[in-house]
Amino acid sequence: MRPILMKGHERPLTFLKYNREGDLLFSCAKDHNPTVWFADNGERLGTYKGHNGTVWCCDVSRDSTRLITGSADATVKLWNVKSDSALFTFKFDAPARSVDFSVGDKLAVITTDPFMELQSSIQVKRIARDSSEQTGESVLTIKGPEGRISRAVWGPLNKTIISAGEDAVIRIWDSETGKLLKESDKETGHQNPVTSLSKSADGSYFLTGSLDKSARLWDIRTLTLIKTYVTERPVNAGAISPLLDHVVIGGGQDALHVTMTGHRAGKFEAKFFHKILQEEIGGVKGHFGPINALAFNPDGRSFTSGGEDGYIRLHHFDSDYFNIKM
Amino acid sequence: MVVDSKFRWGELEEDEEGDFLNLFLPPPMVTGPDENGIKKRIEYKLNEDGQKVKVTTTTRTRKLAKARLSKNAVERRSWAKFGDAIHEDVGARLTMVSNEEILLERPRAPVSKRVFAKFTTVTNPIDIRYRDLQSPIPSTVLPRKSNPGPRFATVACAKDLTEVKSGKGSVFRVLAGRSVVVAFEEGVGTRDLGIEVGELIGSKAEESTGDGLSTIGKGAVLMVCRTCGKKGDHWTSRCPYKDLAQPPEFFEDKPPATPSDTAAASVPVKGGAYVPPNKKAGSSSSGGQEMRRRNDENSVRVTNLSEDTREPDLHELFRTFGTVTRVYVAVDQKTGMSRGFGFVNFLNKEDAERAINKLNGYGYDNLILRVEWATPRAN
Repeated sequence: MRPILMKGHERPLTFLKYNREGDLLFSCAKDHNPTVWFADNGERLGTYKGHNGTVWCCDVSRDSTRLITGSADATVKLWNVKSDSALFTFKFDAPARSVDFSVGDKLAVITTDPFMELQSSIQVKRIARDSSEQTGESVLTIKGPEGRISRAVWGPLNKTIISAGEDAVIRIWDSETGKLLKESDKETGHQNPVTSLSKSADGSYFLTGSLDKSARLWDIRTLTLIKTYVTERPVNAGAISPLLDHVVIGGGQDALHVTMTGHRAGKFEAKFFHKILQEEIGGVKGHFGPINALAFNPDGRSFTSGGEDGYIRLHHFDSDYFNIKM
Repeated sequence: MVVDSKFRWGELEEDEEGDFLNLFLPPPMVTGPDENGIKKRIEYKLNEDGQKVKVTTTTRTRKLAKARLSKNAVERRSWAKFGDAIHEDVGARLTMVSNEEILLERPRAPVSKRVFAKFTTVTNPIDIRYRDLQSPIPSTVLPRKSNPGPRFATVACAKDLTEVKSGKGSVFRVLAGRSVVVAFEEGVGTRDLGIEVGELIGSKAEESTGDGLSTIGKGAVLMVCRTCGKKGDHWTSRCPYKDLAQPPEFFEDKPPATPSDTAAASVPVKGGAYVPPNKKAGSSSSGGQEMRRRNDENSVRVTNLSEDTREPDLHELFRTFGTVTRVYVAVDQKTGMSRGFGFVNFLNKEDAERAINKLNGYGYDNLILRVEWATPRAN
């Protein structure tokens, strides 16, 4: 396949997100300006200016009208996807790390980093349909996990919030009371900080990637460990294919392998694993730096990777991808 | 052809006179859409002169590609650009299709932890013997710097060797009779590739097992040579221009050699291993590698050269016999004149043999050349 290279960001990528229909791709990077691209040909549509720090994460509403971005400048901004104007800014006391819209887009869960004496927290904000009525009030605040929380997402039917972070433990919280419902097992779970968490297309299981060079698949209700995928490099990002039984994992901070491939394309690769057999299917090379973000198009026919090199590579799969036999 | 439909002559109306001749015509036939979507319709008519005319209509039916974008997506396509994209000219360098074809590279063997080492071959060994690889091969082969990872063996293979399986956990696969890929399990999951050939251990050519290796299949790996940069043709060690860029970091105990390295022929091989006396100055400047030594069996010594003969002259003279990997002419530094002899290395031994047969005694620039094997024992 011929990936489309998009070099809109001058600094490393942090997060990639497709909208629900798969025609827009939102990218966040350390260069303060989240960008939106057309997902079929990689053409840039626009950038959202306003943040003053690294944009760590973003989420887009189901109808693709609202974009929420969390940034290290301790604000979370709500944008109108179509234009550059920020509709609302949530202010925090610490850098905001992860944002996620709830099902129905009425709530958003935001995590903040530990900052000075402040502990990390998970906060839930109400999102008003009409942006003029938006307030900055938190519906719920959860404090407790040690260390940075890399990502927090909504569980099924917005009843729970799943969080994973630096202490390598995945936690399920009740979204109304804030009580801790479940924790992942320390022995069978990750051993090093969890860097990424992404849900499946139907939301019943999710994939976490960790610096312990493995990615794990968990059930979202019971938090049972379903599968483990082992790689040779610390995992920074992962995504589950909505179409086939594949997961893709990206990472890589360790020393480069000596390879035989050409020196033109970069050597950092996104590894494809068979979701059920846990075996490696193959790798797609090309990035010149560790891969920090991965996302599958909701139709499963293309995927995008964002790297430390500031490049976004959009790959439309060849027909052989769909015929891979294990 | 008789018309199937029953009709009665008597019942035909008068004004259909002209038409009744149509009834003698065969009925139209339609061959339905085949796999290319082509549909043919054959009709028969009468033209003005009353002649039977066959009309064949060929149509191709195609399924329209499904519209990929939803209505909202199409509407979004027409949005105005904003933010930094306002001043963007179409076709800016931001978004571009990669020049390189990137493949989803399948792993070589269906083993999760695997260490690869790829080696180049020696051209014409007669047989190869391999050690049963029950235990990991000690790294006597090449002094691999500090990397404790992969242990491997280099294998030379004969041209027609296909597949060889060795002991536990190790697999040899020969590509195109020229190089060998060794894959074996190793606790450390590093993948190290691109190791040059060292010590020779081999295996009998005929030993091959069908299972296990068939699963390796064709690796979707692009052969790239680091020396000449050509893709898909040969690996680095098989590069015809291999002495142009010597990767010195692989070998600790060898000084980096340059093509014009001359007299100090006694370059130690592999940390003090025995160097047979056939290592002559200039026969192979890169000196000492097992693989290069093999190439030196294709080395031809040319004597009685005229004083202004240089490398390009020899190269041009000898290249008609085959691929020449390197040429060397001994030149007196003080006078700049040729000392009268030189060496030519061929890629293949047969080419060297033919060159010897043809050029020995050949008159070149007012002197009769003497062309012979550089090493005394070249059978």
